[in-house]
Amino acid sequence: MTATASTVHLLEMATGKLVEADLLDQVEERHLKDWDTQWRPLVAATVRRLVTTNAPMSQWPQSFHWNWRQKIEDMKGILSGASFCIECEGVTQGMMALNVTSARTRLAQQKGQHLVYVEYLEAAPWNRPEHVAQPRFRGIGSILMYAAVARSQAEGFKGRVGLHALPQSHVFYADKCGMTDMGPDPNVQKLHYFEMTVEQAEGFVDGKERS
Amino acid sequence: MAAKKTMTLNLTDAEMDALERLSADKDLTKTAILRQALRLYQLVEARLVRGEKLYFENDATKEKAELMLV
Amino acid sequence: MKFEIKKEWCLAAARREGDVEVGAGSLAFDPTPEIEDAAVQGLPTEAMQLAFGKLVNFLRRQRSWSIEQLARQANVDAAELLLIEKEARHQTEPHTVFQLAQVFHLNFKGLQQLAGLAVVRNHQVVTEAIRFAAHSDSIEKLSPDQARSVEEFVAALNRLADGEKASQ
Repeated sequence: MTATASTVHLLEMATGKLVEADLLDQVEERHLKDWDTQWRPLVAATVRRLVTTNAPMSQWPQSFHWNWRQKIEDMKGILSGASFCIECEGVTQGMMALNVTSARTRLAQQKGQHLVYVEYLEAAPWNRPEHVAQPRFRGIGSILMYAAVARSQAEGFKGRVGLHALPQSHVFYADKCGMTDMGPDPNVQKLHYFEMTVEQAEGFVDGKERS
Repeated sequence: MAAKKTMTLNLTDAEMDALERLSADKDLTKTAILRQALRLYQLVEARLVRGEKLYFENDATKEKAELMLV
Repeated sequence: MKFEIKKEWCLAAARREGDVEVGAGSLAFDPTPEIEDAAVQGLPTEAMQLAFGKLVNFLRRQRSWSIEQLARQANVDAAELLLIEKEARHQTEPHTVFQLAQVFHLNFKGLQQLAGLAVVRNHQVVTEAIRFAAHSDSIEKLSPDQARSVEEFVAALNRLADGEKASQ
């Protein structure tokens, strides 16, 4: 089954203009090849730079060890797994892996309900200030989260989403996506667990302004 | 998502009761419940085939009880 | 699955998102800051990397794996493994170091230091590495002495990287 593409738009920082991109409902081999040949060398260069400047490990890109090829391989043929990615100008700009079965909500007002759990979400390194002085595109995280919320709604979970954010990403999930920060999870390396309620999901897809 | 196929399912009264109760509890359609059940079954089987075991853990006591799946 | 995401939504979302990090998923290491000990100065980097290459070589041979088999097990590039084992000056990719730590069940922090990817904070790591490299040899099968030497070095590396004192 090949991926279905939907047109989305990314903000190109060099020009300040919106450019057309594709949101695909499946990560395929060409995306993994981009990860291998384009993402990883840039991440490795960043880590080397941090090592030579004696930067502490807390400043390292926190997803440098992620193996997308392994992750996608593990999901092959598994009904509870889903993946999405964004392609622009023929290059993979962001990827996301979801689990639509194993997780349940934790917030008191919606405890024990089904939700879509984001297992991994990552933007390409040239879109991130920790790797490049001038990130190329903006909006990748938001569009991928839109896909997660939409998938949740399609499953009948009314937009509920859960995830463990990398420490450097708390601002995005709390302030930009409007999710509830439930604090460090001792079972997942003390990463903060974030959850999106039905109302927060509606607000997110409606594009309601947040303070 | 891929094109869908239709299946007719015959359930006993007890099975239908259980399905309707789960559907109400989880605020999901009966179809969604069965879909989730299939996914969970597949996920469990995939891990069992890898030689892993499935446990329940008591949150208070941290005691583990293996779910026996033959 | 088809989406209808309006241009206006994308623009507003991109402006709202700004340049913040968006990653979600599990980490491999504790993100808390390391204790700020003075880094060990004037390290014999080449000797450390030589020890790293020898360690990978020995652990691979201990399992009777070819380079290709290790590459498959660790899901890394076979060509890079060849360079790691043969070329002391080769700079290993962080991802490869992580994968090797996983497949050989080694302490990731210790292996990073050995591979020259992290600042060495404990001089004992250097001493153990040099001692190991100096006593290693390149014959096909590991002798019992070599196997013991590998095990002792791995144990020392794991202990030192976790901050405990090496035993006598």
